[in-house]
Order: sequence, then C-alpha cells, then structure tokens
Amino acid sequence: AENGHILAHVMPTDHIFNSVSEQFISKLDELSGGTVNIEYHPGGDLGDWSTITEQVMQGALPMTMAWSNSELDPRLDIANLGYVADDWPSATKVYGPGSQMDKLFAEIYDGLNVELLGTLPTDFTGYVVRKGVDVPVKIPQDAKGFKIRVPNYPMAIDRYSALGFSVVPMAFSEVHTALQTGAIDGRAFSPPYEVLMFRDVLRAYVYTRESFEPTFWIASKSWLAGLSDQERAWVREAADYATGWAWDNAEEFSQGWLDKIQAAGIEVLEQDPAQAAAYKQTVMEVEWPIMEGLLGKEIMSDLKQTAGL
Amino acid sequence: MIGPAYIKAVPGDAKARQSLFYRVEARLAQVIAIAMVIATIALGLLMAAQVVMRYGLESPFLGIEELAPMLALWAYFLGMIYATRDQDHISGGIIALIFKNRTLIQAIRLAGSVACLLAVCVFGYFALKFAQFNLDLHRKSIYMRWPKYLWDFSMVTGFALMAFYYCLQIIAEVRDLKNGPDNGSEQK
Amino acid sequence: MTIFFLTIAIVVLLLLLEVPVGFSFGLGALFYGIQSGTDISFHAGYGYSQIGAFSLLALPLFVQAGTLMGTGGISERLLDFVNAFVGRTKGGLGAVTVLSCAMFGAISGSASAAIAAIGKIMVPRMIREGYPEGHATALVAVSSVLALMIPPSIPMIVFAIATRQSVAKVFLATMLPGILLALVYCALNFWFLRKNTTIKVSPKLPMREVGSEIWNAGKRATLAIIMPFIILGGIYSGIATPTEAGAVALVYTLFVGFVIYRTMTIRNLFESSKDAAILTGSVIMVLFFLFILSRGMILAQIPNQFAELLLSISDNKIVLLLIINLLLLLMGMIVDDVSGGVLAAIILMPVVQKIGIDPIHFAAIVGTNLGLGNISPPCAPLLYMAGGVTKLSLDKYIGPTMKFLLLGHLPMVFIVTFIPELSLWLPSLLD
Ligand code: NA
Ligand code: NA
Repeated sequence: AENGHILAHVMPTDHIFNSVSEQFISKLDELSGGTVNIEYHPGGDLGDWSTITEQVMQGALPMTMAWSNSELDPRLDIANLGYVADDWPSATKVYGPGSQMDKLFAEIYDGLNVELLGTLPTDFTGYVVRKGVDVPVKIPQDAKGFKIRVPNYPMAIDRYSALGFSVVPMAFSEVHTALQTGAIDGRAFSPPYEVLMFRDVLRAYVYTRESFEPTFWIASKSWLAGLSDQERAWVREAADYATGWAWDNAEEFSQGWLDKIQAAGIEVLEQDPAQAAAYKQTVMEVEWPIMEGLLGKEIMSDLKQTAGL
Repeated sequence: MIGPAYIKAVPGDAKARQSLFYRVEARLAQVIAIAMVIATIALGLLMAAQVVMRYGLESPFLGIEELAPMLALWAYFLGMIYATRDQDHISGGIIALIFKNRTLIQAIRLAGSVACLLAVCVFGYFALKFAQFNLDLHRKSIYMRWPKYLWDFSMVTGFALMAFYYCLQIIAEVRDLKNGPDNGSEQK
Repeated sequence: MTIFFLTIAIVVLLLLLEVPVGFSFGLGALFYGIQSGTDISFHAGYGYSQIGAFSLLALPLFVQAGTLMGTGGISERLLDFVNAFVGRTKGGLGAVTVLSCAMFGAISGSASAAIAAIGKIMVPRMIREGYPEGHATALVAVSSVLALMIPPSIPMIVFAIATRQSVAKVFLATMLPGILLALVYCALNFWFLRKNTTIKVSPKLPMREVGSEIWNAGKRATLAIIMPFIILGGIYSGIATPTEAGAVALVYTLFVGFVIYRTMTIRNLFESSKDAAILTGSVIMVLFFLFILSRGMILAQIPNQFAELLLSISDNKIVLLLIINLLLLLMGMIVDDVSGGVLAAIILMPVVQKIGIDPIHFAAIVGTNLGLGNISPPCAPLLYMAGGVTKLSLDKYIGPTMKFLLLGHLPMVFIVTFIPELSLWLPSLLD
C-alpha cells in the first residue's frame, strides 16, 4: 500500500518551510497541470523531525524538510560548524544551490536512501536569555554559572563549555518549561524564528550569528522511483524553483523575525567587534580541528577557501 | 473481577511447574523481573543525579538524553512482557455481564488471545524490520556513539516474548475449554 | 470517514470483548491501514519513537515512586496525620479517605497507586467502624481520581506531550478543580451518612489532646508532608523539570523508606518495583498502539475532517463545548484516562483551536472528564480496582459510586467547562 504524495515537516505555517512548501506545491501544480497533488502536513502531526526523517528514509513518507541528524552520518555535524559564513551573501556562497556544501550534503544523503531536493536556508543562530537573569555580554567572564541548554551533540557541548557556560543537556521538549521555571537560563543554537516559540519567558536574544543553520529538503528514493519520468522531472524542477525562492527571500524573513522579536518586548543584542572576534576565535579553535578529523584536511581546506577564511 | 477467573499463561499449580519447561520459564521470568526493576531504579537514580550535578558540579552527565530513554524503553517492553505473562494488561469489557454461559465466555477470551497474538506477530515483524534498518545503517547515538540496536532490541525482544507468552496463553485456554465447565478453574 | 467510524466500531467491540486496550487499538490500526490503503510498514517504528520521548520518562518514575510510597510507610503516616484532624466525627473516616487521596495526589501521579496506598488501609478500617461496604468502596474509587487531578499527574503529562503544551502549566490546570472536588466529596460523604446508625465514632477528645494528637501525627508524618513541597516546589522553582521531579520523588521515597523509616527492604522494594514496572509497561503498551492508530488517522487528515463535521453541526461555542464534553465522557467510558487524553488531544484539539478555547483550559476539561471516565464502566480500571481491594462485587458498590459521580464529579465537569478562570488562574501565575 502506498500513501499519497505527502510533504510533512514540523514547523508551523509562519515558518519559511511553509512558504517554500507553498511555492513548491503551486509550481508543481502549474507544471503538471494539476495532475500531481501534494498532501501537505505542516506542524509535526506525523511525529518529531527525526522520526519524519526516518519515515522518509524508509520510504513510508515521500518528503520532508528537516535538520541534520549526525546519528545517520557523523559527517552531517558539519551543518552545525561555527563561523563558516557570517553574512547572507557568504551563506549563499557556502550553502546555496550548486555550492560545494550543497554537493557534499547531496552525497551524504544519497548514502541514506534519500535524494536531497534542496539545501534550505533557515537563519543564523544565537542564544536566548530568560526573564529575570542577567544577559551574559562579556564572554567567558559573564558566562560563568549561566545554565545554557545545548543540543545533544559533542561539538555543541564543547563549544559552549569552551565559552565558559554551564552546559545543560536537555531534550527540546523540556526547554519551554525549563526556561519558565528557571531550570535553565538560556538556550543556545537558536535562530530568530525559534526565539518567538518561547516569547513569553524571554528577556533577550543575543544574535551572535555563530552558526548558519542549513536545513534539508529530502525525498524518499522509493517514492521518486514510483513516479513517471515526467512527474519526477516536474518535482525536481518545482523543488529547484522553491529552493531558489527560499535563498532569495531568507534574509527578508530573518529581518522580519528580528523585528517581531523586538515588538514582543525581547531585546535583540549583537556583539561589538572585539567581543565578536574573541567569541569567534574560541569557537573555531574548538570545532574546526574536530571537523577536520571527521571530514579530512582536503574538504576542510576547500571549505576554508569557499568561506574565504 | 467479574465472571470466570482468567486462565494464566503459566499454570499456577506447583505440580505443573515442576516440568523442565516451566522451570526454565520461571528463570526467564525472574530475569525479566530483575532487569525491569533495575532499569527503572537506575533511571530514577540517573535523573536525580542529573539534578544534583546541574547545581553542585560543573560537568553534568552529558549522555543522559540517550541513556535515560534506553533504560526506559527496556523497562517498558519488559513490563509489557510481564503484563502479558500475568494477564495484567489494561482491559475493559463487559462480556461477563452480558453472557452467563461459561463456555461462551471462555471461547470469546480464546478468540481475543488469538487476535492479540496476531497483532503481536504483525507489529513484531515491523519492529524487526525497523531494527534491521538501523542495523544496516550502522546507526550510532549522537553523543555516546553507542550502536542503536541497544535501544531497538528492546522492542524486538518485547514483541518476541509477548508472542511466546500468548502462545502459552492460547494453549492454556484451549486446554481449559476442552476440559469443559466442571474441571476448569474456579469461579471467583 | 466511513472507514474511520468502522475502525472506531471495531475498536469498541474489541474493548467490550475484553481484548486488552492496547491490542484493541493495535488491531484497529491494522484494520484501518489495510482498508484505507495507507502504508503500515512504519507503524512499529512510529510508536517506538513516540514512547521513547524524553518527557514521557516522568510516567515510569511517578508510577514507581507512587507504588513505593505504600511500601515505605509514607502513605500510612500521611493518613494518620489527616485522621488526627477529622477522624473523630461521624463520617470522619470517610473524609480522611477523601483528603488523604488528595494529599497523596500531590505526591503521586497515578490514581491506582492511590487506591493501593490509601484504599488498602482505609477501606478495611471504615468497614470495621461500621461503614456500609458499598459506601466505603465507592468513596475510595471516586476519590482516587483526585490523584490525577492534583499534580503531578500522569494523564496530564501525556496530554501535554501530545498537544505540545507546557507540562508545568497543564499540571496546574486541574489543581483547583481537584481541590474543589475533594471538598465536594467530603460534603457528600457526610450528607450520605447523616442518617446512618451503624457507624462507631471514637469519643471526642478535649481540645488540648486533639492538639497534641495532631502534633504527634504531624511529627511522625513530617517527611511525608514536606514531600509535595519538594516535588511541586522543585518544579515551580526551577530546581527540577517535571520529568526530573519524578526521579526526585522516587529517590526521596527510597531514602525515606530505607534510611529514615527503615520500613523498606530489598525484598519488598523488589516486589513493589516489579508491580510498578508491570503497570508502567501496560500503560505504555496502550500508548504505543494509540500513537500508531493516531498516525494512521492523521495521514488521512481525519482530525481536521472531524473538526469540520462538528463545526457543521453548530458554530455556537456553548453547544460545541457540550458536544465535546459528551464525546469526552463517551471516550472516558470506553478507554482509560491515559489513552483518553491522547485521543482527545489528537481528535478534538483542532476543533478546540477553531472555536478559540485556551489549550490549557481544554487540558482541564479533558482532565476532569477523563477522571470521571476512569470510574465509569465498562472500561473503569479504578472502579474495578477499588472492588478488588475490598473483595466486593460490582453490583454492591456501583449504586453509591453513581451517586457520588452524579452529584459530585459531573457538576464539576460543567463548572470546569463554563468557568475557565477556575483552571486558568493558577497557570497564569507562571507568565
Ligand atoms: Na497527582
Ligand atoms: Na471508563
């Protein structure tokens, strides 16, 4: 038995995933003359993002947009590497359609039984600070004793330990309650959009732009194989179109979220150049050697060249 | 409890339990019980230690997001096996209120057990396929880099042993049905 | 939609035929998948990933802690303490039962643990003092639900996970209704017993002696009395997350049982832990299959279609709320509280959002309704368990139980539904 042409992701309908999906669905409709209809499931009603990814890999769902999961391939950790890009033009150069990284990701996902339809831009990340605690500005001095939640992978933990924070591993589902009650003081690796998910409990957002968060639009190979050649060509064309649209519009989305964060009464802070430089040096000293161990010197020096480092 | 007493998968009388088969089964049940108790208590100690470490020490145990669900999954599935063995599953039902015929009630319960065995086999097959998928991928947990089969086999083990106990259950119920109303277990 | 209703009919039939709740859902999911032509190959993987959720860890921990409280002597001391206040009035033991269930509820997340801990001690005591057996058994059955309404609460944890709401807030939603219900049950208890002549009442003590009795019982029960403050205080002051609080409760119980009261031994620890693990396993099995069934329904967009169906009946908020309550009541009758919470979250949440009900208010409506469902047959684990403790057959105590439900719990359902402030006030303090 086969499910329909489902596209599922976990984000609500105001996220860029939703806009990309809408672009894709209408483009596909136009190309196919209404013969290929997408059943669209936003909002995570089919499970959390890693479960949906598994379902796509096993061919139980056709498509999703999700984050990298290094359980599947340790090389996917490179998606979280700090300071690969620090503004939108450089992000597009490093991760955009046809880039070195885009090709590397396509190769990794090909080994996971899925096809990468597009590397999507989400945003740069920073960290949030809950109400009632001081915002750490000078790092590492101010970071001492600040309980910050990081995602569960070694590089993230090493980064924030090196920056002097008190690192708390915690499941994402616990974060809101923990910020509310003070079990943690902040959350790292937060793009602007996700700041608003916790808006009721936050006082500040420090937009360090330390990592760029690429996300991945993947399709099950068995689903693609079940389509006719013509349909497959339409899907790829519509996906390319929607991915291109995403890269053209992501910066505007980002600015929109930053404005909304401020409108919600949450202070948006950026580091001054001296602080930023020190922060960047700490992060790169920790992470780049680890990544070099995983990917090899060659890929990393290519990456440095592309990133202009 | 309403209606005739439930037939247990494992016979209650001491004589039947002396056979080699049931002595091995008793050991198995003991291992399951010990493992599920240890898993749950260890889970509690681990997570409570985490709370203390967050305040007292600078280095919390970072693998907790992976280790805690692993202990829990094993406890869950072992608990399900034991619930199957002891007929402790949550269930409702009113057949004993509607029907008074003992044989009919027994027959309905037997049919129910067969349906359960069917469900266990189908889902067990998919559980095995799921575990196989992660195995082929050589999937490892993100932080500790432990192979995922340490988690996944909890589900496979759970379904395999539930199937085993439903087979025993069905055999016991068929025997009881054959024995007729007079020699069956007592009405409570 | 036809296949959906057919599936529901099959699940209900299987439930009525005593097929375990979990397998009824599992078989329903298979039927649904095959009939609707959806892919069922990922079913097991999906259920597995859902029950592996970190936030669900609160369930085994609170079940384990609640069971061990009986073994560790915590619940008994709690009882003696409450008894010192109201034990020496006519019907006082009944009130002790109700209030102890409420207090026990503040440290335990499961109603069956309340029956095991409070019922096992109080029912024989009440019967010895001349209470009608049916009244005593019914009282334990209906007040055990207070343990679900007063946080921590396992069904509420599961509801919060399924709807992605804050556990801390959802916990508080049913707290005031729970306390209010406890008072209502106390009042009903005295009212029902007003003409009773069989009850022996211990002679009244002079005020001074009452004071010293309370003082002594309080001293003995100190470690039990401070436990809610450790658990709930720990959660709301940010020391521990709700999940971790389950672990803290468990470790605290072990510490008190082994080190302070010395009532716990490796042997009785093992025996009660085993019971708790079996209970946990059987609850999780229900959730496992329920999540699978819900995935099938979501793939087919059933919840949205169902919402549209309800909205086509009426767009009046009060009418819809009444329909939702009726559905919850029916759901509660055929399934247990935990699965009811998930079903409600998945099927009714879209409607609730469309008519603009606060999700936290909805949590309270669900919690109150499902508490009722847990003691309404046919699927009424708490009702049967209470009878099991007393060794009394259902027909002997179903009458008194119904009186308590119709005069106590049912009106509370309406109060919670139509006075949102009752459930929203406490959670609003967190903002
Ligand atoms: Na409770
Ligand atoms: Na019920």
